[in-house]
Parts: sequence; structure tokens; C-alpha cells
Amino acid sequence: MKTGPIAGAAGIGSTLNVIVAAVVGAAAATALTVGGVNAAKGDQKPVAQSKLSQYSEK
Amino acid sequence: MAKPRTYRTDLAWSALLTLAITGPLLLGSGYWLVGDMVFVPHQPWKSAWLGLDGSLPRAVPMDAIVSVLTQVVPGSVVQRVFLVGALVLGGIGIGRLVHERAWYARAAAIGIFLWNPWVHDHLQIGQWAILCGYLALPWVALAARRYRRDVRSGWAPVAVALTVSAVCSPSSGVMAVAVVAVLGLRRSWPAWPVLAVLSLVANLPWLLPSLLARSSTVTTDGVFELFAPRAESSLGVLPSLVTLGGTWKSSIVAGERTSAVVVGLAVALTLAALLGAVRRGRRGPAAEEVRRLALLAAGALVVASVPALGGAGLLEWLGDRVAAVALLRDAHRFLGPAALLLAVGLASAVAWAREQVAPGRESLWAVAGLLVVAPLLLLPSLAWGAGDLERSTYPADWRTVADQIGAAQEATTIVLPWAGSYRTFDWADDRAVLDPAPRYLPGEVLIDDRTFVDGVEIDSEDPRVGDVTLALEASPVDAARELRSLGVTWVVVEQGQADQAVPAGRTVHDGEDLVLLDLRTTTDPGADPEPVRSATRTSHGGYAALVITGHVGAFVLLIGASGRILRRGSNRRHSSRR
Repeated sequence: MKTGPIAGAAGIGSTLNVIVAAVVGAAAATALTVGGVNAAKGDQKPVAQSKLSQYSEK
Repeated sequence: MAKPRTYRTDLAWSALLTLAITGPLLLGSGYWLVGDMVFVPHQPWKSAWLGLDGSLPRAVPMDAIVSVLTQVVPGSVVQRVFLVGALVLGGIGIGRLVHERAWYARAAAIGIFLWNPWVHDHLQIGQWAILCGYLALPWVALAARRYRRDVRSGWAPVAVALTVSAVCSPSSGVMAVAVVAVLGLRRSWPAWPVLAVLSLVANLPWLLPSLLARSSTVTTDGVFELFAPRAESSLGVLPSLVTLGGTWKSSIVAGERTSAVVVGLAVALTLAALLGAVRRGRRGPAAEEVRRLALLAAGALVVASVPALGGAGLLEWLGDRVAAVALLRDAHRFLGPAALLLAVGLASAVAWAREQVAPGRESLWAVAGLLVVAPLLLLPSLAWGAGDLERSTYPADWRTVADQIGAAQEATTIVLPWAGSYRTFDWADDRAVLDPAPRYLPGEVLIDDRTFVDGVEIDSEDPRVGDVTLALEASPVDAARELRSLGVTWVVVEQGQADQAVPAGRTVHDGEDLVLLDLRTTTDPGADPEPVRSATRTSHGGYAALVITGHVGAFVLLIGASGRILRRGSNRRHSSRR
């Protein structure tokens, strides 16, 4: 029985799946974590009443 | 021809994303009042809405349309219809541009087109009409596709697309012409002159008032540098721009966009979309269109990045000689057409990832899935109110003052404090918003139209502002006399803003939010009320008929072209039944 190449291909496929899943998972987790944390930090800047209102203000 | 099921899927995904963005606005009463986004309950009709008052037509004829609509339905409804309708239609349009793709690939295209920093920033800056123009771009591209195939059957969709874009804003009109020119032109001779005529007529409503404006000047001193795109993160301005970010208004940038990691991942998404575009541009019937989209995107990137990469001085030099260059002041908005390439490319990249799925490579499904949701993951701030937009409701004072001014004929009102055109009201979430008075109050309403950006003053474009400024420097009694001689009858004081001495006049209304003074009766018994001279803005005079002709021309083009499209659709349906 010539099972060597088939088993090898399956092994490569399995490794590829793991690598791709790890990269995708890492990218998604990074985006979620960094993006989420920074989005939550985005605070509103209060404007003093005596101050001139500027177009550049939030 | 796309199947009905295709439209339903695209409609559902577009509606879901739209709901995720505008949800807070839809769940209650009130308005989003932020930056340039000003809607009022009932916007009284004024000749200025058609550009007949001699001022620069910044929102012509969109203000006219909003004014007419708010005579029928409240402004809050009009705002919701415009924002929700434009977002949903924009999503469906980009889905149609890649209609031959599977649903998940179209979902990726719709996702990146509706959910990106450009959309976030323009919502936050309140440039809703320019956002509508951006969301019309897929339909402009579809019209250009038909025009490239056949000028005879394609001119009507192009005419409608150009007219609708020009209605949104002058810059949207110009962008639409560029999109059709790049995507739709062939070497056949009728294509060029027909497009030239259509472009001209479609843009006449704002073009003619701009060319004939006599009482206003365009300011270009230092504005190109002031409004140049800016880096959001430590990666610099170019990574921001290639991911559709980089607005000049740093205060509204989404928090996550200040992270180099997030912008870096967004650049990776852009690269994936570009690889998808390269693959699609190599062969197949869509190859030429993708190459043209790439040319369009490159042009958009160049226009947007020039002021940020040392070209502000050159633009200013050009602006001094050619007034039309002032249109490029806010260069970031011209990045919009680049989103078309990213959407088409991302759909292709997702389709490629799906094609690679095979036994042993099932995980590539995850790649396709990640590309679909990546725009959302990289910009969570756009969810639920573009970050933190809150609904606002006008205090009762505004209605009271509008009614009192409305009772007088040909009233001219100035609004204090005389300190620029933006306000921060505590009832409007303390955000910088364009003064709503000219749209809320009837008659002619003068505001100090100077704009202050990062402490830099951009000069007024209305010569009468200087006269009012001088008048207000005098003592209250003299100021009232000067203002009367300028034709001003009412003074509205917006409370809670910068302190300013007010002219002497009879207080007609003294509320918590607004004070209304009548200058026709003075509080100084020793001073005689002087006859009020008409302060009607120097109008286009003899040119008014020409300006109106421009509006009529564009309207006739829109109706005629729409009728032709409907007739062709009807004929096609009849012939398919036989």
C-alpha cells in the first residue's frame, strides 16, 4: 500500500489549516482588542462656554 | 442581469449596516446636529436656497430641496430619510457593481464601502450631503458602465447620476463627472461631447451662481494647508489615506484610528483589496473596468494627498489665479472614489479565498470570512451613532423667536455673538455645529461667516459681514443706529455662547436660550429711529433669470432622462412577457 504521499498531503493540509487559522485568529483578535480598547478610549472633548466655537472642535 | 435574490441579500446587508450606524437616530425623536449637519423642523423658503442672493452657493440646490420637503414633513424625518436612504442605496449600488459575485463577496464590497473612515469622518463632520454624493458613486459607476457600452442607451442613466450628484454638493458633482469620464468614455466621438453637455447642464444649478456671485469672495489664503489631510497614527498620512482616513479634523477621528496597529491592519486590508483588483484586472470582461477604477483611485489619492505632501502652497498659488481651485480646499473628500476600487477588489479577494478552499485547506473559509468582517472590526467606532452622536431637540425659544420674526415682512436679522459661524450649544451635546439660525429663522439672516480652525481665522466671504462687524464695535445706541442704517431690523442673541455687548433695542423675547431685540424701536429716548434702508443682499439682479434657467435646465434633464429610463424598463418588461 502506498499511503505515504497521501498521509503526507493530509499532514501538510492539516498544518496549513492550523497556520491559516492561527493567522486569521491573531489578526481578528488584534483588531478586536486594539480597536475596541482605543474606540472605548475615544473621549468627548468638552468645550468651555466662554471659548470661541471653532469648526475644528468636536 | 442580477437576480432579484441578489438584490434582497444586498438590501438586507446594507440595511443591517445602516441600522448599525444610524440606530440611535432612528430610535427616538430629535436631530443629529453636528458640524455642517443642520436640519430644522421647517426650513422657510428663501431665494438664497437657489443661489439667487449673490452669495456663494455652498448648499445649492440641496437647501431648496430640504426647504420644500420640510413644508410637507418635519425636518427630523427628512434627515432620517436622507441618511438611511442614501446608506441603503449606496450599499445596493456597490452590490450591483459586483453583481456576478457570490453573496459573501458582495457583502465584503458593501461592507468596506459603507463601513470605512471616510464615512465615519463625514458623518462626524456633518457633511451629510457630501456623504450622499459619495453613496451615489456606485450608481454613477454603473451609469458609466452602460455609457461605455452604448452612448445612446447610456446617456440617460449618466444624466440622472450626474444631476443627483450635483444636487448633493458641487464637489460631489465634480467627482461624478470625473468618475464617468474615467470609467465611461471611449474613443468614439459622440461620447465626449455628449458627456460634456450632460456634465455642464447637470452642474448648472451651482455653477451659474458661483460664476455670477458678485457680492462674495472666495478665501484661499492658507486654507489648503489648514484643511490638508492629517496623519491619524504614528504611521503617517499616507497609510491613513490609503485606508480612506486622514481627515483634517483631528478632533473627530475615531479612537482606534490613532493606533498604528489598527491602521497597519487596515493597510493590510487595502493590500488584499488591491491584490483582488489586480487579479480581476488581468483577464475577463471586467478587466478594463478594473483598470479604469485603478486609474480613478490613483487620481483620487493624488488629489487628496497633494496638500498634505507639500502641495498646499502650489494650490494656494493656483487658487489666487483660478477661483475654481478653491473647490479642492477640503481635499480629503476627493478620496471618496477610491472606495470603489477597494470594494470591487475586496469582493474579488474574497472570491479568490473561497476558490482556494479544498480538502485540507478548509481554514481558507476563515480568510474569506475575515475579509468580509474586517472593515467592521477595524472601525468599531462607526457603530451606533458613528461613535457618539446624540440626538438633540431645539429648545422652545427657537420656535417662539421664528414666529415673532416671521410676523414681520422682509425682516433682516443678525445673530449674536458675532464670533464665527459655528456654535456649541449645551442642548446640542456641546459639539461644534453650524449656526442653525439662517435655516431656522425666516427672512434674511446674517451671521458672522468667518470660520475659526485651530485658532486660525478664515476670512468672511460676505462683504456685509465687515459692515456689521464695524457697527457692533460702537456703543449700544450707535450700534443700533448703524445696524438700522444697514437695514437690520432684528437681533437674535444666542445664550450660553461668548459674551458680547448687544445693540440698544426693544426686547421682544427674553428666553433662556434666545433673546430677540427689535431695532425698529430704540431704548434711547434721545435717539430718533432712523429710516431703515433695505439691506437685501446684492442679488444677481439681471442674472437671476440666468440662474433660474440653469435650475430649470438641470430639472428638465433629470425628468427627461428619468422618463427615458422608465420607458425603456417598461418596454423591456413588455417584450419579455411576449
